[in-house]
Amino acid sequence: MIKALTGSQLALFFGLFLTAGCTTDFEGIDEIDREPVIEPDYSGVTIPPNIAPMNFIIREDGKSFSLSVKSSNGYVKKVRTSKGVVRFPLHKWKKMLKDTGRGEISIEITAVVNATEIRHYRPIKIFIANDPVDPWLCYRLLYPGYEAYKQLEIIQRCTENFREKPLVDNRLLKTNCINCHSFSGNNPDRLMVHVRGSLGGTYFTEGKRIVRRDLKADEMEYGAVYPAWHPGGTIVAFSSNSIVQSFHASQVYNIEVTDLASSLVVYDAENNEMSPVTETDSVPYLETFPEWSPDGRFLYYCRARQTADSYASDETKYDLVRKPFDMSSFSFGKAEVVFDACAIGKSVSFPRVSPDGKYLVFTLHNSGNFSIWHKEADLYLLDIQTGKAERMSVNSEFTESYHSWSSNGKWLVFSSKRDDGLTARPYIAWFASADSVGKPFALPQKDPALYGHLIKTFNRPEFVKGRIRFGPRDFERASGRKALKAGWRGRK
Amino acid sequence: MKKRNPDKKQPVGKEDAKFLSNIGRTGIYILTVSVFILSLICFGLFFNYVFFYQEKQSLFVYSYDYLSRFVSKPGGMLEYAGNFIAQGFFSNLYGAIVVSVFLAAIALVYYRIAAVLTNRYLFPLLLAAIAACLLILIQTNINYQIHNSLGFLAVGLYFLFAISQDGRNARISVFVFFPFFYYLTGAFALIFLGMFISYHLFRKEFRDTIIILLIAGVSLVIFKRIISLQPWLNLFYDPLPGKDYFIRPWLLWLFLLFFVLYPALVSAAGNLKVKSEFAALFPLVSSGIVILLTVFMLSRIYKHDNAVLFNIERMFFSADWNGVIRLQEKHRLRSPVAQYYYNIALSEKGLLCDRLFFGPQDYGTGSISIPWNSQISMTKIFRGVYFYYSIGLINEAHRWAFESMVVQGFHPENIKMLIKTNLINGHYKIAAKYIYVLKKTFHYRKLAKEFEKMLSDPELIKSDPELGEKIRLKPNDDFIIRIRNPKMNIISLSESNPHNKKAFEYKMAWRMLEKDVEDVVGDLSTLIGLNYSRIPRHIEEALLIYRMVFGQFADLNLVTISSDTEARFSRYRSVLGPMSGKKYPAGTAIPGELRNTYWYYLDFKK
Repeated sequence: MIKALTGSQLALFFGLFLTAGCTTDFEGIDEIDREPVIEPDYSGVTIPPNIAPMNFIIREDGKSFSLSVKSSNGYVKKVRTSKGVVRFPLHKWKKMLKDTGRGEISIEITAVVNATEIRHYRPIKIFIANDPVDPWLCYRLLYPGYEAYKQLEIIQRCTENFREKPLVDNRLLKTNCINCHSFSGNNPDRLMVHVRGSLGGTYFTEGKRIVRRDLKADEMEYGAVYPAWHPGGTIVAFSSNSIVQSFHASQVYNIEVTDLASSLVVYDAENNEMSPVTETDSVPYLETFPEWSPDGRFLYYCRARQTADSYASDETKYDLVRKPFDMSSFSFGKAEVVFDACAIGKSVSFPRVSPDGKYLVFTLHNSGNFSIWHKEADLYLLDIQTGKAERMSVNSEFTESYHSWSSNGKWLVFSSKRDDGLTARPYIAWFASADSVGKPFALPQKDPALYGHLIKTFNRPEFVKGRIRFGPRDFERASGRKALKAGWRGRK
Repeated sequence: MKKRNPDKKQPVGKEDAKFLSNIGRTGIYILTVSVFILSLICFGLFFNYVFFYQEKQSLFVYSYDYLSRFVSKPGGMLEYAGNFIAQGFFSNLYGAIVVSVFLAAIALVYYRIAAVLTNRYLFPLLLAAIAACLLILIQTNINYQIHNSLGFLAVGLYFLFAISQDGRNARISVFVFFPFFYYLTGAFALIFLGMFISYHLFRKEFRDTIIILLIAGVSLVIFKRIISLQPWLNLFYDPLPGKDYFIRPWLLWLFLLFFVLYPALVSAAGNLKVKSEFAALFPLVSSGIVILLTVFMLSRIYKHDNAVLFNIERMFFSADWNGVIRLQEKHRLRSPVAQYYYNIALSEKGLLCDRLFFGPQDYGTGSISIPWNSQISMTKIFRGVYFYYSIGLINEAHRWAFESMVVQGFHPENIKMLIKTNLINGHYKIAAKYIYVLKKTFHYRKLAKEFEKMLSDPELIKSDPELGEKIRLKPNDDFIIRIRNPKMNIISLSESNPHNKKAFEYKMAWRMLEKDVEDVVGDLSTLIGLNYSRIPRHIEEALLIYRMVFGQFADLNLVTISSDTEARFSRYRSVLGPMSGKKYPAGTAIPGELRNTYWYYLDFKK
């Protein structure tokens, strides 16, 4: 658990139960013609039927608050809270969602401001979709920092309750840097994590054990960075990047992360072999963020023309490109531009194809490829069939960046800095169709005040179909074994 | 584990025993009081900077989140308790009293251990005195934290319990409690383990040794495999004092070894003989000698310059710029940190180009800023943040403070800096997170509430003398920060915000320290544009040098050099003239008032 209850919240928690069922009737109530402000903002969101309780805090004036929670199937619960902290008991919440089915929950809030003033707000609606979300979410939890790091963790969190377990903890890895966890098709048994430092290597799960590989074949100038699993589960495409960071005086863009060079490679896990993704074009490109189509026939990636000054990231614009891939011959075809971002003076990063292969969501921003530090970065939905891309309704005025699909393709999780502009939170949006995307909601927390206080950021949220059975000690054990160096396909 | 093992070689008669017992009782009172008084004087008057330093290195937060960082690891609760105590170290008196109480208690406990282990009266007092005095000496290390003394006290109490109890149940309770003791105190439990083993091995009692070793081994494995996500090294060493903080790490090992072998030493000492005519006086005299030796060693350890440096830092942190300037000009510390603080204090008072050379500038531009280096401990380079904050490069100041928070955790100065930089940059929601942290502390709660008011009324930020000024100093457009080239940052800031006088003066100071007189003169037009009512003294001095070397320069007609500076220059030249060609030690013949000049720096500083 990231953060547990404080004393007052505990008291409230029990108070909520003790007073459950009490009714309060007020006279002379001021009707407020708006919804009350709650944190996180769950008003009008669409949630899966298996989501954890949507606890929240009422951010309105009031000595006490009365809530009437009604579901569309007639379930009614009245509760009172003095501090405005609302926590739903897990089993009652689950029952309510189950009984309601596809429908809505309405939460009416009345605030007692003082002896003479009582305010009644418009009810908050929460919509329940039919489609369940994957039961686990995996993310890296870290300070949204610059160069330095100390404690890094990759966490797996159950989306159906508040259970949390560390997957990797760098305290057991001599405080090496850990990054870029990646799953083969939301599969909890097939994943990889990069570790950089004295215990460096790429750690893959293989059956019941974890193996450590050194993916930087002698032929490669730079290490393997951003991964994408081929749906077959045996090969992984990587970008191989030389990355630099620069700091700016401007308070809008104070950090920029730039690739000085980058190209694509493919790793064959079965043979521990790397091979290049050949480029026949004579133009020098920067290539990064690979992503496979679900049928494994196309490799999508972001591509920019290499500029003379590699640090001039504002001049570097990435297009969305794809190459056909033939598994039998292990060869790639000619690249084609799927979304010409340069033409509109923008840049693409993080392409992610929906499990049905019909859509692709990417991040669009002004320049460069590291959208995490770009306030203007937004998510766009590309219809692969028609080639049309549209800005998604889930965006905010702050950074929307790393995103991934649930295994059923009905939920999209993405990191958004909408709460404070700095720290990313995992937001989940219902994807009914290209025309119908629900209002996203922040991953519910046991302590609804958590996001308001937590300085750490949620990085690379990825849905997983089940609990990952590996833990930090497994990675520690694997770190004790020598990293097996990858070979190079065709090397004599 | 048998109660006491009386030395049978020299039986003590009943009357003698009573007499000697009285000596021991009186002696331990005297020792306890002596240790307390010595420690109080030592830490109250001389080494009180230890408290200032330690208080600035941690921030005790009254929250579950903070507690949870300690709960999950062996020894964490000891650190937590230590940090709880250290939160009051902003008061030297409190710090001195607390430390002294601990040290006196340690003297008492270790005396009792020695007294239980042997009924010989000769050595317990001496060994307890050594234990307490060693701890006094090590406590003078700024990185030796109070939880360590607490750990040695806990070890002593547990060991005393272990050897004082007879009976099977008591014995079992010692074994049963060990895993919990390990959880509470971490590697201090291993010191207990060492004491326990040395005690039993000295007596050739192997059964309890094997039992406790088995329990310790199983405990460690359980903590490693099931309970705690800690590497083996941490399980074996934390939270003992870090060996990196000692110039001679072997001294630390020797120190730890003394405690591990304490029972064996006590037992071994029990076999030593002292002539009967000295026997009655031996405990008090030998302990007195140990204390006198300690006083002598303390006098050798104490460095007045360190005390002044921390005093300067204390004033710096409380923005007492006049105090910093006064102290540094009085003591003229050679420390680069003191000179760096001095320069910032001058800048904050708008005196950088007026008094830069009133303080020693031994490191040239090296005392203008502390260069970023990710290979150097953040604890050492965190001070570099203040230069950027002072001149208005708020993003860079934020970066340094943030990096510090990531690596060192919360401490008062990085959190305050994060709050201030976020308020200045208008990132109120992020500032609120740090204010939330500061609000949950004992000492900084009031300050946090002041910052909190600014969140709801940003006009308060603009009208705040410090924050408002920093807003005005910020760059007007973007440029890349050169993390290893502070000079370029100053130049870029000065160009981006031509009204930033601090950046301009730092630019001029940098050039003066580089002995680049031409560039100082070359920027005269900027100085004129900044509406100075008079030319800063050192810039005048640079202009005069330039005039002397190159003759009149066009822009020099635009400015008037004060008659004082002209007269000073004449005096300097008249003093310097006869020295040409003679072998004077560098600058010694220059009168004091002329050493505070740029000319002196040019001529005599390398």
